[in-house]
This record gives sequence, structure tokens and C-alpha cells, in this order.
Amino acid sequence: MTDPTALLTALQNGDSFFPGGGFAASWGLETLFTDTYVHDAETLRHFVQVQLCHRWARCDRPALVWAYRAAGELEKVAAVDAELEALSLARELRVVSQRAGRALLRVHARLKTPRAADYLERVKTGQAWSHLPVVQGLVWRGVGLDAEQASLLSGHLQVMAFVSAAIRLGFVSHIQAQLIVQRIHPTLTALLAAPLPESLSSFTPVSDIAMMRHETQATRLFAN
Amino acid sequence: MSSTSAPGLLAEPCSVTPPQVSISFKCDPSGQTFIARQRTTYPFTLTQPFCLDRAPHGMLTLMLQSISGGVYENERLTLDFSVEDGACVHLTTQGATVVHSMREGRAATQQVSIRAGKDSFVEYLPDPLALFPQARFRSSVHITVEEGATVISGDAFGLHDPEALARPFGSVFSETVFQRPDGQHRCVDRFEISGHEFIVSLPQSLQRYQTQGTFWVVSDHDTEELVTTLRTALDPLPDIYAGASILSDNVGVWTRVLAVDAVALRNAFHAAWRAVRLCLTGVEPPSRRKSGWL
Repeated sequence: MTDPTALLTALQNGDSFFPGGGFAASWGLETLFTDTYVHDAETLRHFVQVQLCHRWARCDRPALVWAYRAAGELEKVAAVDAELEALSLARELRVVSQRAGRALLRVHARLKTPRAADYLERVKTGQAWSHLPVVQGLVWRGVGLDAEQASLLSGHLQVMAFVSAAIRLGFVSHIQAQLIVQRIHPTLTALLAAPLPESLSSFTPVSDIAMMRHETQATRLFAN
Repeated sequence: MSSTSAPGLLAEPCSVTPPQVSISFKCDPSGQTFIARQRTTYPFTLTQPFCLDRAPHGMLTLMLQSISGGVYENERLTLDFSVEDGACVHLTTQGATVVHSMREGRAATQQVSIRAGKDSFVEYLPDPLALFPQARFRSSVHITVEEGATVISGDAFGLHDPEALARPFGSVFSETVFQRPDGQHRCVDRFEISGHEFIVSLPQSLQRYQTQGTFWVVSDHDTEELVTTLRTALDPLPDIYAGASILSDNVGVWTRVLAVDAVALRNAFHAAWRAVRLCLTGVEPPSRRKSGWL
């Protein structure tokens, strides 16, 4: 059996009740739904697949792992944070990632997770950005998850954020969402088994454009 | 924010060959920009520079041409431009850059370095890459922006399958980096995608969009005004899907465009460029030629 302590820690940190702040975002889905490019279970599944392969696997996951590995040296964590900031070109992508990361950091500072309070201080004094994958790497190491478990949790939460947004937008049912999550598992596990890239990169032009268009959308349920 | 090196973060581009193009631009006492130093070798040649613009004052336009007919397998191309304080330059190409098929799978690379000196005005707007079936291309554009400089830059690629056999390009790697001389305020667009991945990653209803481009404006100008200008210019255009946003640290604005074909992409870039020029200088730019990119 998998280490029960690690499993319980992952379940606690991955629960929708954990106040991590990541579920206020749609990552462009709201606009893609408005623009009718994502509108049902199949187009949602495609969107999730593309986001995992071309952003999460190439940018968020490596950033998390490098932050995880650097956790004892906050300067190096901040450097990974700065690179993520540089690559987060769409304003709402940037702002939502920072806010979600800061919310997660505040919670873990109160839970006395090692280094969380120190890094939060750096964020408050402008020495670090608090992007979500970086904070996840830092705090999940602090609570005792290994890098693979932390990566898995990150991927799972990202998928859940997408399907959750779609449910709230009303174009998939809860059952359809769970079927998508199930079908995505082989992709997620394959991506986790792949070697890390040498540098952060991302190619999701459709969601980039959607998040930028979202800034001027008349009615908005989500922050991006 | 510090940008110290860390595992996995790219260092400065490593050029293993002397640049095929190395040009320095300066500004004379009247405000006219001129070529102070140049070295241009095969496969590039330069047109005679010319002056078309009423604003920015003294802007020099220079077109790069390929005398080899495009980019070929395993080529290593390096271009270096230094725009000194106060100089104004528009750099472009004669036409689309053809990236030929590479049957042995060895990618061609092109590294472009641009230094925009203090209070300079630099436009780097090459025509798009036309990626032939099995083409493999690695591009990096590193732009150092000094205090008060304005840089307008764009890059784009499109699938090109002249025999219409549904054969996409092999792969494209692209890295565009803007930063200050001290490495601060970095904005980076970095991606690697195969032709097949490019097509299948688009939602089905967007899979007819065969070209992609980005357009950047790094400037001290009011970024809210700039981003509104871009959105207003792009919104009415058909056959594109585009968005614009303000960059980190308010250093400027950028836009990403997906377009059905090269004509739609050209129209988008043309509209964006003209609108931004009008916003920044009060004067619309004249076209550089009868047909082509801008």
C-alpha cells in the first residue's frame, strides 16, 4: 500500500475544501465557451488534453519540480518564480496564478509549513512573485510529499479546475466531468513519466488569446 | 525582482559562428539615423536603406534579403543589430522566409540579437516563416531594451504545403526574450511545437487556422492606451482569433493572433502596426512596398 501518511496529506491538500484559491479561474474556458470553441464534453476533453500536454507538462510541472528541489534556498525558488512571471504574458494568467499562489502560501504559513512564512515575506516585500506552481512545489515539499506526488497532485488539481469551471459554466454535467477526468488519467501518468524539459515553455495560443479576450468580456464569472 | 540563474533557466544564447549580419545604427546631429558599421555575408544581402517616415524623425528602413532562397537543413544563422542611443530603425525582410524541407531531420537555427539603445525606436518586423513539410527550425530573438527605448517586434509562422498533401512541418522552436540591460523586467515567449501538434492542438472549429503570430510593443507609453489601441485595431478583422494584453511590470503590450492564412495574418499585423505607430508618433506609417508584409 502507498504510504498512508503521504496519501492522507495529498488528499487533504487536494480537497476542494482546502482554501488554496485555485478554483476561481477558468484558464480561458469562460471565453472559449462564449466564443463557442469549447461547448461540450468532447471539446472540453480536448481542451484539458492540450493544456496538460502543452502548458502544464512544459511549464507548470517543471517549475513546480525545480521549486521543490530548490526549497532550501529561497533565492533559487524566487528565480524559478521570476521565470514563470516572464513567461506568463497574458495579464489574467499572471494575476490569477500569483493570487492563487499567495492564497496557498498564506494558508500554509498559518499551518506552519516549513519555509512558507519566509517565502510569503519575500512576496510581500517584492522579492518574489508567488506563482501557483512554484508555491505548490515549496509547500508540498514542506508537508512531506515527494516530488512525484507533488507533481501528480498539481496535475490532478489542474484537471479538476478545468472540469469544475465547465460545470459552473453549465455545458457539462457532473458525470460527464468525471468521465473526462477518468479518460485523462493515462495522459497525466504518461506526462509524469516523461523527463523534465530543460527550460520552461508553453504553446497554448487558443487559451492565451481567450484569457486576453476575457479581460474585456462583458459578463464574467471567473477571474480569467 | 532578481533573475538569477537556476537549473533549467536558459542563459544567454550561445553563438558558435560569427554573425552573418552585424550592423550598428547611429543618429547624426540632425537626428537622421545612418548605418555606422555593417558586415553582411552569405546567405544575406541588404537593400539600400531608405527613409520614408515623417515620424519617428530620421527613421531608416532596411530590408534583409536571402540570396540563397530561404533557410536550408542544418544552417546556422546569426544576426546582430545594435541601435545606438536615439537612433530609429525599421528592420524587415523582402518577403516570407521559406524554411525548406529537411529530409535528414537536422534543424536550421537562427539567432537574432538586438540592442535598443537609450531613447531609440526600433521595429523588427520580418515577414512570416513559411514552414514547408518536414521543415525544422529553431529561432531565438533576444532584445535588450535600454531606458526610454521603444521596440515594436513581431514574429509569425505558417504551414505551407505547396502540393496540398496534408504534410505539416517537422517542428519549430521559437524563443523571444525582452529584457533590460541588467536582466530585469524579462518577458519571454518560448515554445516548441511540431506541425502535427499545431494542427491537432487547435479546437476542431479553429483547425482551419494555419498561421500564428505575436506582436510586441515595449515602450514607456501608457500601456492601457496601447492595449486598447491594439484591441480596437484587431477586433473588426475577419478570419483571425486574437487577443491583446499588458505585459508584466507594465513594460509594454503584446498580442497573439491565429489566422486562417497569410493574408489574414498580414492584415492583422498591418492593422496593429499602423494603429500603434499612430498612437506612439501621431502619424500613420507609409507602406514599405506595393505588396507584401507591411
